[in-house]
Amino acid sequence: MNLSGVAMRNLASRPLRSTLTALGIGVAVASFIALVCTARGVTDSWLRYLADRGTHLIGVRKGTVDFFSGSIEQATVAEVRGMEGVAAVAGELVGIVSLEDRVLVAVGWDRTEYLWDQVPLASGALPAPAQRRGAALGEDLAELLGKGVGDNVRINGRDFVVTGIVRPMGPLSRNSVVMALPTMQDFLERPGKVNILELRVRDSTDKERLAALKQRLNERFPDLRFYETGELAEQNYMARFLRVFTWTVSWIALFMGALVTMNTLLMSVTERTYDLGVLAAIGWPPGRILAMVLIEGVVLGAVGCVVGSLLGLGVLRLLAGLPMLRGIMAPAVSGWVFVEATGAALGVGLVGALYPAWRAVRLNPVDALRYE
Amino acid sequence: MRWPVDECIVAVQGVTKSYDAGRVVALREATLHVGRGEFVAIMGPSGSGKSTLLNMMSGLDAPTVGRVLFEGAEPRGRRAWSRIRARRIGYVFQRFNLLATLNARQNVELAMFGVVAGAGERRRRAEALLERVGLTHRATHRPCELSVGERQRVAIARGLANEPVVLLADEPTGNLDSASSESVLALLTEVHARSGATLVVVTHDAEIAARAARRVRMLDGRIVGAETGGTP
Repeated sequence: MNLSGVAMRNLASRPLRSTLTALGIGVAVASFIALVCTARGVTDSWLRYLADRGTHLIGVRKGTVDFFSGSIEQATVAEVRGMEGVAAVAGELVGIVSLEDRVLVAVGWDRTEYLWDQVPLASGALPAPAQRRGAALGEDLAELLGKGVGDNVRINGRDFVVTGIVRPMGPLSRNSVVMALPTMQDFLERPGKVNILELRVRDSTDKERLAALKQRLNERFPDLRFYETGELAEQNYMARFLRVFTWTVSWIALFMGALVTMNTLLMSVTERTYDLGVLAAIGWPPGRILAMVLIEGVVLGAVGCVVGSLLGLGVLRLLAGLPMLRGIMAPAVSGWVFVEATGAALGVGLVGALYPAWRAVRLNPVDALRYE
Repeated sequence: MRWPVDECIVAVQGVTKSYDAGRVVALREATLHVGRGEFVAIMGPSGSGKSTLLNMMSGLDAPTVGRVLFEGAEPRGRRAWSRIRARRIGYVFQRFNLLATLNARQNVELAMFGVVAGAGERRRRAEALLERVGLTHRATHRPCELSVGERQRVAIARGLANEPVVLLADEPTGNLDSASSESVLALLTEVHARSGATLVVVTHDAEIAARAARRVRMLDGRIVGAETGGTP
């Protein structure tokens, strides 16, 4: 028997409480994994969506909190197209709309631009320019609504005809609506405006040239801000907000886990006052008693980590399967998040055990031996 | 009896112990020198300060006034006393003080942590000690599955785990029936005789006291007398 063995036996002697505490840490770890993977999934979905379309640079209105709220003159598209190194430019107007009883993303593209040509269709066609009340639906959305080509849908209270069903181009497009740019401009009452510029460059593999082009664009259009697609997760306010929110909620969950551990070990230390007195009486130094209680906390954290990882994976699987979320996010599960979760769980156990361990060390052996 | 410093293993010098801001005085100016290999019985009625004196001798409690020397030096702080209790002192309690969640062998092993390296060696030595106290067949039993006499023998095995130079026993037969008392007493005296360890026993039992080389009497926190002789 070694010190870990003693700690394990202490935990095993109160099986229900130890199990519940490990479960408490597990819930915190599961929350951490689910939130972090979900948030990363949202960002990754967006980046993948852009990458799949061959977009290398994104231009948005400088200073806007989210990309949808800014406005860019549609004429800017032609100016950007004329810049050296730019292969293609598409202006798009993206907004949030209500369709039937759902809130989702709608995009308006100009038929003459590269994005339009790339839309893969499962059936039907994209709306014709004259077809001002036509819209193509993402495949999952159409399936959820039970709509097909030729059916009517109500978007923001107006009747539209489904002209086509769009195959997914990344998770975001599964539940989105595609319209012709003029329809979208009319719809959002933003005539002659777009809110995002998507650019393809001639040689995207040359990072220096890409960076140089970005710099020239930012200098030429000081009211706009151009990003490489990979930078969006770092630079975009909403992405940053999502990250901060995720970490805040995760840390609250982990803090609660630490409190649960502390509560359990405090009760355990109080109940074992006599035993701790015995250990001190037979010559256990304060450091070893401290280590024993800390090991108990770490063991609780480790068990909680295993439980939480499995629980977190289950939650993510559940979320990914929900039809209403299928088009919005696909959880990004990586090995690294489990490394983080393991560190967090062990940290939670250790932090939760610190105060009880200190209490255990502070006990006067004679008083402890009198404890009943 | 005064012992030369090199022969004195534990020296309690003018120790007073008070609690509750001096309102309760458990020990008053106690002075006691115990020599190497000596068998001392500390006697007195309940509340006379016997256990407090024993706690001072083992460093479990600190004097309010005075000092305690162990092997000629005054240990400072809990860590120093912990080290001495682990390596030089064996302690046997009236209530056995075994951990309920561990079996007999594991309770003995506990005392060897930090002194005997390796879990396998600790286990081997614990089994040998249990054999010495006649409990090989009870090694895997928890305290609640043992008789009170067996529990006390496990506690003695634990006290002997690190071959102490001093064995302190606080009412070791206080909770035992006469047969178990005799068995435990025989074991303690045999350990004392064979190992040459100093044995200090707090007891009400005149029969134990009669076997001690010296009997120290206490009353109201004071050492009121000592007598030598007996059949150690």
